[in-house]
Amino acid sequence: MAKYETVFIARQDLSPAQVEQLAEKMGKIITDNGGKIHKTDHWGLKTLAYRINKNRKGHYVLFELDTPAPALHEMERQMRLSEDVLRYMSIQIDEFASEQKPAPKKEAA
Amino acid sequence: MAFDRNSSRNDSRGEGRGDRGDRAPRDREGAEGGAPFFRRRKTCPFSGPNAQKIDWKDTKTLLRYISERGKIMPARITAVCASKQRELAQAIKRARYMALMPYVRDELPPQRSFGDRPDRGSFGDRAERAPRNFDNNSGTEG
Repeated sequence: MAKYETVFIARQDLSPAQVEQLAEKMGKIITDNGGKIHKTDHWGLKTLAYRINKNRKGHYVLFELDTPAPALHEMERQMRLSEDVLRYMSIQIDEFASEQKPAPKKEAA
Repeated sequence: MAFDRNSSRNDSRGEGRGDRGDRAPRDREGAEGGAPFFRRRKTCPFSGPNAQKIDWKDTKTLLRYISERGKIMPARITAVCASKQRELAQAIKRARYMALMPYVRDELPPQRSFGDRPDRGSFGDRAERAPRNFDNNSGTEG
């Protein structure tokens, strides 16, 4: 199990309820495949810095996941298939943002 | 000023970047309270015991490290140390991919289209040469 951070952008003409539904659907893939969702964060409708598939805005959803890689791959596959998802990105992280220690390790200049 | 050794060179450089340097004095996490650009700070804003973390989701911070055009600022201007500059660059690229930041910020669109127009005129002038001097644009249509 590794920790990941996944953000996806949903189409602008979805309603917030639909976005929630979509996020639940994606999260279910993770939980069904033995992963855990640490946090789900809806950023809401944000203006995109540039147009993606003729969308000027998009609903951003952030997942913090603790999941085996196959589950993540399956979710990413579903995101590629879904036309409501404009873009997604998963990044492996060392620790979730919420559980970071206040004083990080020392740094070389 | 810490750099008396090459102060004269820095001054001349500062002229060229004066527009950035003047606008840049924003309050940052106050190490020395200097401007991030123009004045060479000794410390990297992301190093040290309680420096802020570089996060690609933190657009507000990242925006300080791109130029007006949207390019990543060189570390010699921002005084970010090399390892953190790599991290920062990665974060900016992630933010760009997720459309949180622009790849390129385009200003001056009217001048661009103005520059395009003579090209179209030259197509027209190939078709009919004589009337070009008088009605350049209407000649294109006819």
